[in-house]
Amino acid sequence: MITQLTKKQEQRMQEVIQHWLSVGRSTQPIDREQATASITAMYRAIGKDAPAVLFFSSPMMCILAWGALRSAGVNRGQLRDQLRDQLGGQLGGQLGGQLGDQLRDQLRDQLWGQLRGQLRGQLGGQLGDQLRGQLRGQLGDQLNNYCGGSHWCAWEVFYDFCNEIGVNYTKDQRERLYLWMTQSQHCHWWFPYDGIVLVSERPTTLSVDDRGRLHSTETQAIGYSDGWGIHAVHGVRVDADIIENKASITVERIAKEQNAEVRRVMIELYGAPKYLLDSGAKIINHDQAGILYRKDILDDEAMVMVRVLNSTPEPDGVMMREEAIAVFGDAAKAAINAPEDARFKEYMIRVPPGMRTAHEAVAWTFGLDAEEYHPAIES
Amino acid sequence: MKTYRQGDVLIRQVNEIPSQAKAKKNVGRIVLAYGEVTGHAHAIAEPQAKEFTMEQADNTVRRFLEVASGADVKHEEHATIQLPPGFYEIIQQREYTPEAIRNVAD
Repeated sequence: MITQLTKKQEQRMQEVIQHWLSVGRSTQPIDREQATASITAMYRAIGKDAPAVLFFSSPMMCILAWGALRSAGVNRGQLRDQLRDQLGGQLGGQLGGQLGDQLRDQLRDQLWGQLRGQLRGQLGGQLGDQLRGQLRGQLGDQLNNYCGGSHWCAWEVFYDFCNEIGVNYTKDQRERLYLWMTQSQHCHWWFPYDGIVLVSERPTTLSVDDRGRLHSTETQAIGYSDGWGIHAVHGVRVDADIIENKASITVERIAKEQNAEVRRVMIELYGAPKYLLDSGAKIINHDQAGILYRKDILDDEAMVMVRVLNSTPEPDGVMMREEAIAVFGDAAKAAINAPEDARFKEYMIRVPPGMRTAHEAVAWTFGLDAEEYHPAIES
Repeated sequence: MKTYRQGDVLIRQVNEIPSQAKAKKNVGRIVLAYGEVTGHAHAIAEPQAKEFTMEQADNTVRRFLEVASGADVKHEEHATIQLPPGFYEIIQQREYTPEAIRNVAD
């Protein structure tokens, strides 16, 4: 019974995770020969002849191509479920008696869980949702018949790693596992039909944030050579023009947006302080520390920000002394004592929605209660 | 107990430095905080000053300062702040980030 990993195996597990994350996030063209060989081997293993393997630029193009083939009279059965049922392999049963429950749970959590979450969840899931949103009717049904390739590698990588640390499988199981591992290594999304397989190329651009979520505020977060792809900010899918044409984000458009997550992205890209001022946020307090604004937002927590003036004049400041005094009043003490031609910078900081005064809000930004925050000197 | 503020750094006088805090080696200059964009720094160039750090349960780190003979906190864009001899906690300004949205109606 294997109950714990050696130091070396722990390290090896991290390498395995990193390897498969990089395969799953790869933007390199696929090796078509290897991809064809790995899929053909799976077809043969379920007793089918070698299929015609056709390559397309993106998962979307695979589905559109299938629509075209079907219009031309090609009608073939979907094979995904058969591949999964016949080659799936009952490996779970082999772990009992060989692998301690605790270690099994640890590996499920760390290895399987991480690869599944980062690849199948963050990438595969987003692609599937995007396709489902854009396709209707029978073409949409093709999404019941795809294999996610490296995006779905977590299952086989988990069982392969168990094998590596000493869990034994039958020869037959080992061979099936090898088939899945090989296709994960070489394939992106593919759509298996009787006699025909449509294989998608990998994306040509892919960008994720530090939590592995699709993320780009400049361009597509995932994009294929044919132009199809997804715009997303921190894993929230948005319309292309929100990213590509930021001027299309207006206060009115933000107000109309029904999805609270998309609305947050729009506000972030518009600039939260600018949004607050442009959308007519309420001033809920104005004291010596600054001005506290509140904007109620449908289905989301209120946005509360404190607007303050920097205490030291700066040559590249955008606010003239007079203007600073006009806007900030009592909170412009630095400006009141400054020379006539002094320039200042202002800034806004978001604070928790429960803040009642600007002073309390500024104190919060330093982790203090209002009564604790009374700087003797500010510069 | 006085507090001093220079831009986004608050320097708060404390009675003592917690015993669990660990001293860091002073390499001649203690940087209290770097500016996000400009690379400017809030810093103390005082060989006698000592910086201490204390890890919290939530993985954040509290930072303390001991200046036996006082110190000047300098920054390229702010007026210098003179700290009298004493113990201080260094607090960097933070911003509120809302929780993940739950039950979003699509």
